[in-house]
Order: sequence, then C-alpha cells, then structure tokens
Amino acid sequence: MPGDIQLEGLTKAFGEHVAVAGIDVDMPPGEFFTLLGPSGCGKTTTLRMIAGFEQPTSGRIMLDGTDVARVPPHRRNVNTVFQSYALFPHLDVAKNVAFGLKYQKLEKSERAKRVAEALELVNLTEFAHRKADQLSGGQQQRVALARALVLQPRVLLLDEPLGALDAKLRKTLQVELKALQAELGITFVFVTHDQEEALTMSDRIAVMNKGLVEQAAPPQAIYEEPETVFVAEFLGVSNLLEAEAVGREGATCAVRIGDRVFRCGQGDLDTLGEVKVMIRPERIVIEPHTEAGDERLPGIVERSVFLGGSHEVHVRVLGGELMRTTVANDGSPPPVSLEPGAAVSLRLPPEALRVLRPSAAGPEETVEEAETMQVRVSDDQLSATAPPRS
Amino acid sequence: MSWLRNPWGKPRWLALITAIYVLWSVVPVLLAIAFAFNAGRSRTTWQGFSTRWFTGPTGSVLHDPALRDALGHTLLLAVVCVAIATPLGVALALGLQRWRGRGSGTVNSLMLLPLVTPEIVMGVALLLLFLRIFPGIGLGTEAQVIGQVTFTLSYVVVIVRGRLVSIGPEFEEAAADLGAPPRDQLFRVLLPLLLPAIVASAAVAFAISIDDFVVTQYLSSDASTTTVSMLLYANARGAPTPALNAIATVGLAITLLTLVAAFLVYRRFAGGQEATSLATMEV
Repeated sequence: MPGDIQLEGLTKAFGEHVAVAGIDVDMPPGEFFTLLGPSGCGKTTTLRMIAGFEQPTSGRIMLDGTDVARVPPHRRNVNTVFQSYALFPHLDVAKNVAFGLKYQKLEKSERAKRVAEALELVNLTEFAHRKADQLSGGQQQRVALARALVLQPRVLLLDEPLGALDAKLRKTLQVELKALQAELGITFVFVTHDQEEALTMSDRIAVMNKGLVEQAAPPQAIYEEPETVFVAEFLGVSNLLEAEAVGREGATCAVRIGDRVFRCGQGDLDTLGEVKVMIRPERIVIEPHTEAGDERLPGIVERSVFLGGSHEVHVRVLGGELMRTTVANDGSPPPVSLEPGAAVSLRLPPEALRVLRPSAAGPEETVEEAETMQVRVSDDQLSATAPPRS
Repeated sequence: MSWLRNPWGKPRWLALITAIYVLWSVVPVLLAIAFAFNAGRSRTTWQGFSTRWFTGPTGSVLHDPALRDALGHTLLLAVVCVAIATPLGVALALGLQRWRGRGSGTVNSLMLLPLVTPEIVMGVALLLLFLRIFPGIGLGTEAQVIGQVTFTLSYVVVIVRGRLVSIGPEFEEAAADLGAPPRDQLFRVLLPLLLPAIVASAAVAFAISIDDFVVTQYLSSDASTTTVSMLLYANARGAPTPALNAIATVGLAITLLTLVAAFLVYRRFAGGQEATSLATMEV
C-alpha cells in the first residue's frame, strides 16, 4: 500500500535557529497521522519539508522507500492543504481544482470528469464557477481539499486546515475529514496545536516540542501513557507531583511524596531519585478524611465546580500542591462534602500513578514552563480564528 | 457658525480646509484648460469658445508642425519607456524579492535612489554619462529613452514589490505543490496575480514619462527630440498662443485617461479596496 513516510534523522536549521532537531518518525500508509505541539515546536517546518518547500539541513524523507529530500515540490507525489488555503484568487473553483491536472497526462474528458468527481466529493458542485473569495471559510477549505485530492496523491499534508474556522464548523469538519480519510485510505499528515482535534481525528499522534518528537503513539496511548512531563501536560489535564523514587517493588515503583510512600504501577519503574509522578484527575478517588493510610493524601477542598456531568474539585494537599480531581455525577450525592474547606482524602491508586521522565528536549522542563506553553497555545487559537488572507 | 463649534458634528474645519486646498490646486489647471478653447489669441482674456487651437488650419496642435511633432515625440518616448521599464521592473522586483543573500539590501536601497535624487542632478549626471562615457549613443531619442527608463524603473519596482510582498510566497508554493514547474508558477500564478500592479506601474511610468522635463531636456539633441514639456517651457515667455494651452490639455487628457484605465483594470482584478489605495497613491 503506497503512502508510507519515514523521516530519518530529519533536521532543519534557519541560521542559528534549529527548528527541527533530528526526528525519526514512521507514518504508516493509510493512517491519519497528526503532528501535535505548541507553536514553534517544528511541526509546520516538518510538514513543509515533507511537501518540499523547505530543504532539510540533514536527514532523509523516505516516501515509499525513496528518499525525496532533494526532490523539488512539483515532482513529489504529495499534496498540501494550506492553513490559509492559498486558493488562486484569479481562478474560479473549477479551475482551481483543475490546476494540477495539467501536469498529469490525462485526456480532456478524463480531466473534466476528475474535477467533477472532486467537487462532488466535497459537495461543491454548484459552486464550480464562483471565485474563491465569494466562498465562506468552510467552502474555501473544501475547495483546497478538492484541489489536492483530485491529483490522487499518495499522501495528503494538512497544515492546521481548520484553524481559521469557527468552533462549530471545526467540529463538523473534523468528523468529515476523518471520514474522508477513512474512505480514501490515503495517508493524511495533519498539523495542529489543538489537542482535542488531534485526539478525535488521529490514528497516531506525534507530540512535538522544541524541534523534537516527545512521543509518537495512538491517541489513547498518548493520553493514558504519556512518556514525558511535556506530553502529560500538553494533552489533557494532569496532576504532577514532585517525588523521589526509592526502588522497584515487584510490578511497581515505590516513590516518596513528602513523608508518604506511594506505589506507581506505570511508566519508568526502574529509575531512582527525583522524578515526577503524574495522575489524571478522573483517576483520583476522593474519600472522607477519615480514610487514611497507604496510597492516600489528605487535603482541603479549595474550589468545586459543577460541570453537569461531573464536579471538578481542586484540593490543596499536604505539602502544598493543588490537585485537580473529578467526581462523576451518577445521580447520587457525592461521597464526601465538596464544599470549600472540607477535609478530604485523595486515594492515588498504583495502576493510575505514572512515573515520568523529563522532556525529550531536556531535563530542565518544569511544570511552569509547560504551563506557559499552554497559554501560548490558546493565544495561537485566538489568532487562528482570524480570517485567512485573501 | 454653530456647526464649527459642535463637538459631536463631523470635523468641518477639516472639510473646509480640504475644499479650499482642492480649489486652489484645481483652479489654475481648469483656467489653463479653459483658455485652450479661447477663440482669440489671448491667454488671459476670454473671447468666445472655439476649438481652433486644437484642430484649426493654422497654429493648432493638429496643424502646426512644431506642436504636432512635439506631441508625437512625447508619446513615442512614453510608449517606448513603458515598454522597456515595465518588464524590466517586474523582473527586477521578482529578483529582489527572491534574492535574500548578501548585497540584496544594498540593491534595494539603490532602487529607491532615483526616487529621492533631485532630477536636475540626475539630468546632469546622465548628460555627462552620454557625452563622456558613452559618446557612441550620443544625445537624442535613444538617450532620452534610457534616461527616462532609469528613473521610471524605480516606480515600477516599488509598486510591483509592494504587491509581491502582500501576495506572499504561498500561491507559488501552492502551484509547486500541485505540480507546476517554476516557469508555470510564474506564468500561471504569479504574473496573473501581479497584473493589477503591473498595469498600475505601467500607467505611472507612462504618466511620469509624459510629464518629465528635466532629464528629457538635458538629453535632447535637436528640434526633432523636443517634447511637449520642453516646448511649453521654451515658449512660455515668447509669444504664446492658446495653442500651448491646447497641447497641455491634450497631454493632461492622455495622462488622466491612462490613469483611469489603469485604475479600472486594477479594480477589476484586485477588488475595490486595493484600487482605492492605488488611487490615493497616484493622486
């Protein structure tokens, strides 16, 4: 099956600035592969190297077994959907879609047929003779898709294609894009900074940070088994605790948090010394403060937010850390008082506690840094809602 | 005059000042045009309406050889200048845009030099150039064309580059991505997108060429290389007839029509908003 991409030791430096710092990624054929990360992490540069707009500083880009790193973009059998779509404003929709067919040896009738099919695929048949700037953002996005797909590429590259759309349309198109990819069966390489987008659409996600891949795995594995602090922070909500690993105990690793010992059933179980221990809010069990002993941290409720399906509870635990937990709303009253000031006990089950290694980009990665990164991401989202350049 | 003091009203002082300025700048031109249609020989006393200075049997733009040849030579220079400066300027703009290496900054600044150099300095410099360094070319039509191209080129480069910057590299990348080789990226995408700017810059070059006096004067040789502006200058203090007003009117009409045509083309291809900014620039 064609559409197999392997990046081998790929780097890209712009002068002093290293955008991509040596990544090895396998993008199996027919998969929806997502490059996820904050702005400046190198994901777009990576995509642009696959497309051929940037020449790698070193490394190989294997497309179905051939290194295409030195092949100019117009000779690569990959096509791109640009963030701002880049529809040719001087051509109408049909001519935009037909643009690349000129370079494939096709009969005239075959060409017209392919254009019609592509427009039908994205439901834009009746807009064939509109100019690009007479279309809405969502329609432009679909023209950009049709223009790329009509060439039947082995790989479709998408650079934050939903970034400029409003939230509701984005949700619809997420589903449509995923369905389209499944139907066509070609490899999609999708770049986004939106973790939710990545989780809902991808077969596999590579989380990037500072020019390196932190982890590449299916969405569920990324969420459930993050390998680094950065990944844990970037995807979903996580509680991170400073701890000291004191040694392996069977299938678990004992860690000391303050004066208490906890057992971690996941992650890097063989390390010793300072580590970060991570647990997702929904995996924490909130209990009355009378429950004490192993696996438990006492604390005081600081804030409790009713979200409908659940309560989000912020608990200040012994040692000063603020931990986020969720209590599912199953109709019965919560097991303990969730009022601010209430004393509770948090149970951290071994199977949900995970020992993390620091970021692949360097051991200095702190929680604060990761947080500012998330702030940057939301800034990004704001600017991404601006209309595309015409 | 309460409206002048109304803080919620429109800023009418500004409107008033603008109106006065527009009148001040337009009235002399309108007067000059009006006297082109004077029936008598005076350029100051109205003696009735006539088109004799345009098409009359003697002394008119159409039938006086000096006037007719000057107009012809002016148009010839303008057309040749545009035909050379436009493609050259577009190529330069494209080159400068792509060229990111050493020296590109210098060349960039140099491109602006003709725009800020006093024209008389350039005129003298070009005169010396053709007399001393390239005597083979000599003064006359060729020198005039080269001289005019030298500085109209800058306008073309500046206008086309402005558009290039606003277009960005994205459309070319999209074309390459769809399989277009560099040649087609240029001819199927970039040049069509640049067309409004190219037309606008050609119109500006045309208008500047028609208006130019200093450089054209310095590089002229004999009567056959006299342009309208030179003729006007030479006869202004002699025994002028309204024929001079008539020939100036013709020149003005040609310039205006060119700019209007360029404006329409620009608006047709670039959308209303940018056309307005172009119009502002040209005024």
